[in-house]
Amino acid sequence: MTKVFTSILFFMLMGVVGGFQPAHAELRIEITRGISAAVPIAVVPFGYTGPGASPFDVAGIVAADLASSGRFDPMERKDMLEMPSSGAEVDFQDWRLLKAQVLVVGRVSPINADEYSIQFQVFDVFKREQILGYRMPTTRAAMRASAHYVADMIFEKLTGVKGVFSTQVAYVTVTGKGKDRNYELVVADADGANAKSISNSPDPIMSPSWSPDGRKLAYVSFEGGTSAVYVQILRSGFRQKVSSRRGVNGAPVWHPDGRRLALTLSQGDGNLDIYVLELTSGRLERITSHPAIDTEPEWRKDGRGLYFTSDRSGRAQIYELELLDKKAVRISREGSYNARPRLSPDGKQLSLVTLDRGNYRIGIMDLDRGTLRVLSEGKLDESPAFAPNGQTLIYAAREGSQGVLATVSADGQIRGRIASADGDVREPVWSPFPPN
Amino acid sequence: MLEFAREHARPLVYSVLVHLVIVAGLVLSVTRFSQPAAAPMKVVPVVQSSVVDMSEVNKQVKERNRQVQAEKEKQRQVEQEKVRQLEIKKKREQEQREAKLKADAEKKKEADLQVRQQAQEKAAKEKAEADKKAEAERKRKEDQARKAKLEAEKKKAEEVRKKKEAEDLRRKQIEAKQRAEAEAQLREQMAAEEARDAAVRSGLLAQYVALIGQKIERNWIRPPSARPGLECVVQVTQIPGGQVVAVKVVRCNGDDAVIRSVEAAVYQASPLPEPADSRLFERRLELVFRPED
Repeated sequence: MTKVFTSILFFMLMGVVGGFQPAHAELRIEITRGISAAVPIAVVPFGYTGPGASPFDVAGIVAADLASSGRFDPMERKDMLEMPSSGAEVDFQDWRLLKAQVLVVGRVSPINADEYSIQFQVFDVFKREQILGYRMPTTRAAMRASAHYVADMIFEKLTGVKGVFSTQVAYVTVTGKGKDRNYELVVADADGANAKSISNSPDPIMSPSWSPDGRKLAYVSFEGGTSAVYVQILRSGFRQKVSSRRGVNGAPVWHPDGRRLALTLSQGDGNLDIYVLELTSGRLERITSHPAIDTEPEWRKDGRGLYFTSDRSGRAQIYELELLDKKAVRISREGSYNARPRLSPDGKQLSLVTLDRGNYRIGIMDLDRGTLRVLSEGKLDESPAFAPNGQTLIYAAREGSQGVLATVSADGQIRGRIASADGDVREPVWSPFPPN
Repeated sequence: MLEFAREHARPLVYSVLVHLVIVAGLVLSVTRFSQPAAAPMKVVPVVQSSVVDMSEVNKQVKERNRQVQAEKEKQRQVEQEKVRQLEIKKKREQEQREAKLKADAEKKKEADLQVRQQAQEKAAKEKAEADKKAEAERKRKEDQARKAKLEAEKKKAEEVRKKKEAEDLRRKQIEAKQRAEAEAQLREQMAAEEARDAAVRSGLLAQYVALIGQKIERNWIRPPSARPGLECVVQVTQIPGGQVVAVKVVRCNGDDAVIRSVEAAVYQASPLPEPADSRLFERRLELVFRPED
């Protein structure tokens, strides 16, 4: 009896002692902020299993792509202590010391004269485990595209967001002066490489717009002295004039179904209004009839409404219109000037040009809350457009008298430049994701 | 024959004499039986003075013959009877002898039986004796074994008891020690608790928590998918000095990129800041990543 009692007492005592543990066994710490810094990553030059030097620097492209996103900070090659080309050769301790959080290794192997295979692995340096690993066939000509694809996979795995390194951008360049002036419509890889002119003219070319399937561009050309809207198939180069009415034919933009264009016409009376053109039938529907300027239409995500710029309030502001009743409502509240709305891929935000303390800058308006956030820092930034993953905006910024391609992350934290050909670069637009 | 006569001379003489006697007897008896039997007469030494008719004489002779014959017959019968008697006697004697022999044999048999029986009895007795002895021996041994066993059991029980006592003692000592330790620990704990409470009250704990939080925030590279509404609970184990030894995401509603980013943030922030008062150090931390816009 006594023994039972003592053991009960003992356990009670232990319970009391143990009971103190949870009281402060864990400190609970709340983390409410992070930083928009670039993740340190090491992309080791890929090995080459064939004779001689590698025909292509895959790792170089991958590292440049990741760096261009602003979310990754690739390590300089000269800082690398070793150059493993497969996971088996990796010494994680070294990479940890070098402060790399992610490690990419890989190798290129020739299969025959023109075919190769690219193999790569991505590792979490802290946890010493493979995050991703793939092998893919490619050709000499497709090597660059394959490298972009590798970068896309890595980006998506590490950020949860689809990469845009395999997409393209279209923009207009202006070169020469006077009668040597030349306008070109250029399509280039998202990193600015492989730039190709698909149309050129001594007269202005404006307002390129990608079809939803990424195969066609609609744009305005003043060739012959008057404006017309063209649709051009990229692969074949075949183009069709779809609107060349009297007065202004401008600002074409594709409906999400790819069969209609919204555009701005003046129809002889000089008053700019929004119209919808059905491409196969040529049927035209007038959407706005306001004495003020209504221009720069953009489709709502559901395709049953439009956003556009109008100065009906005195200065340019953004309006939203229902196709059904054609009633327009002003939706931009802040600032004295807001123009050129472009919808984010998720349909929740509009990028626009806003007058910010005397400077035209790129802003993002939240459609639900109506709030506006200025992202760029230039004096005359123009033509913002979302990348298809919604993470980055591309726009034209002024450097001296030249327009250059600039990028900014949707949160405004990361800025970049896209290398482009000489000349004044205007109106960049980002392609949709390539159809798989 | 001669040898036989010589050997049996006396019986032979006797036999002849007997026979002579018998013949003389017969002759005498003729005389004696010449008188009618009907009238027993007095024997007188001279009797012959009667006249005898021949026929009568014949008749008498005949009668005499007949009588002799009868006498002879009778004699023979007697003889036979004698022989018979003798034979009977002999037979009886034989029988007696046989009976005696038989009786003797019987007796012998009886005696033998008795001897055997006696032997058997003796053997049985001896056996019984031996058995009895063996039984006694067995019993003795059994008793001895039982006694030994009992003794061993007793000894063992004693040992067990002693051992148990020793163990009880030891356990009691250990329990007492543990109790003392627990009490000491409790006192220590309480003292530490008090000291810690003092530190907590002085704001040092809040400072420690803030320092850790800030260092992790400086190292958390928020991926685009880390939006408001995200909540990741991460269990971190650190060792004195702030070195992070384990990071475990307990639950998180974010994607892989978010999970990787919070893990990386903690590892990158290692070593974590140390508290101003070392009593505030905690091996285990629970981090809650809950980004605001």
